[in-house]
Amino acid sequence: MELAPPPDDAMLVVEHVSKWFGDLVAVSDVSFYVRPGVTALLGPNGAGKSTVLRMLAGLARPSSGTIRVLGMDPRSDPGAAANIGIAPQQEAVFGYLTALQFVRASAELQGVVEADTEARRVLDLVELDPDDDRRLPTYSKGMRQRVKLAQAIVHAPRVIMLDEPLSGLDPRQRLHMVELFHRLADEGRAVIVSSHVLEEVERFGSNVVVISKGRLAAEGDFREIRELMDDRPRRVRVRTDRVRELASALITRPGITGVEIRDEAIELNTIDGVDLALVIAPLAQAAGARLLEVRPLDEDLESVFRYLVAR
Amino acid sequence: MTTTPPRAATSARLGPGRSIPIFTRLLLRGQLTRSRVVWLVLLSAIVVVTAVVSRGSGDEAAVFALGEFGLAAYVPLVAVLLATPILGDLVEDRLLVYLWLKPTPRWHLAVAAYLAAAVTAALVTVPTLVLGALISSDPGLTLAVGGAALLGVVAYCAAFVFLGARFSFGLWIGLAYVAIWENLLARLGDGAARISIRSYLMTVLERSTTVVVELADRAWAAALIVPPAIGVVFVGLTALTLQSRDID
Repeated sequence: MELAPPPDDAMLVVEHVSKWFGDLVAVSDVSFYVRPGVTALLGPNGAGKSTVLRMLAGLARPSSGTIRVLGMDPRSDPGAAANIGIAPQQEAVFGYLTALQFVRASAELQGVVEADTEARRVLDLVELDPDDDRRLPTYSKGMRQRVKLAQAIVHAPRVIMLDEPLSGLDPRQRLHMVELFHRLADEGRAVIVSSHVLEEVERFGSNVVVISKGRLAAEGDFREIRELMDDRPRRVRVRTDRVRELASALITRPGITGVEIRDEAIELNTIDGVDLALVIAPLAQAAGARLLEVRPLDEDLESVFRYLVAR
Repeated sequence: MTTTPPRAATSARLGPGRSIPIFTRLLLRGQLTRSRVVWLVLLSAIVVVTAVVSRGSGDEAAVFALGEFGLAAYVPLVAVLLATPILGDLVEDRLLVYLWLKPTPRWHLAVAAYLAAAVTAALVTVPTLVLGALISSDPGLTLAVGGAALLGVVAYCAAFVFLGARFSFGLWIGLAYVAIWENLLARLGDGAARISIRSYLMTVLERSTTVVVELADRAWAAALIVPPAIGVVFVGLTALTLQSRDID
């Protein structure tokens, strides 16, 4: 399929990218653009987000397709690395370095002129003490996350990639980090943040790329994707003391596409979850039934992503 | 807490003169872990003890102690211990990303890893073997043993840095090369001996003594040129490995 040309301000262009490891297809024919701002890479664990991020940073070579970061091939052009900062997901750190030594070395290797000053400044920015002389392995998970973020931004890259950066942070730190992502984005940088938590992504901003099972499930404005998710068909289990009477009443509703009785409970499919929420109580009352439980069976993120892929 | 967002830092692509020392310094700091220090002290102590035991027993005993154990076992074992993990551990611990994603050609990192391994190995082996030569008897052996150890470090470290970067079980391949190839197969024929680093080191050793040294069958020029050439080839292969492999 021919892609529309990327917008003029696209900083990353991903075209028909696939990645396989032997027989395992990790990423399949993914195409999208990233513009300045915060872009969330959303998908369940094992969906291929980290593989996509690694390819965007040049750490992994696509099996097919092309990736351009600021017009450069991130894999073969070392110059691209000067414009990329990445905080990988893994927790491992250099056991013999302090936070300042680690971030300063990163700055030096990026050619930052005042490496020590810059390292101290970004450590301060992520709320860590530059003069803390403890080695990195003694840091908590949240502190390590912030050290990784500091080394990723110390050279002021135009493209910042953060793999699950909020994991291990407390709520206040999360808020602070999300604010920082937005400030970085407001300076014209592309900040790509991967996450498997829908509510987390909601705070990141409006651009979302949804990856599921290695495929592009959805892409675009978060609100539109949220609506798609809200409007999707749902399967709901209803427990009541009058199963057959309530089932007969429910099947007459236009949004309900299927009703079956299983294990003394009703399992129904609906394409209008909002309508079901509004009518189920009056219908039960009319049927003389007592509602014991109304529970969606496919509210987990996996189901949402499966729907988006199959759509 | 500062509220200033990161400003545009002035950065420029680093040349080898700046990047290699930074990489080397970082890698050097991770070299001497507690377990490695224990092994290095133990192996070095065996060299010194062997030299003490061979003292006064004539040139043959000294050459055996310094050649068969010192150059043929001690030097490659120290090299495999220090060189295979220098990139191999970074790959295994998924830390290589922090050094790889920098605006420098991959060979800078390959050279730095090699330098860090070779400098440490040389600082451990050369003084120990020179001390062994001084203890064991013939001071004339000192220069030859020191020179051969240095040549051994140059070749072995390059090969073992590559093995560590390329294979997850590089340490075992290195040990198998030393134990099986250099100590068994190289004795079976000249072809196998030619690709044994040990034979070049033994040739250097034999030049300084009247004792016949096993496997010292290489030409003098080859003994001096081949180990550095092996070093260059394997550093190049390490750079190619870093260029081509996916980084976790």
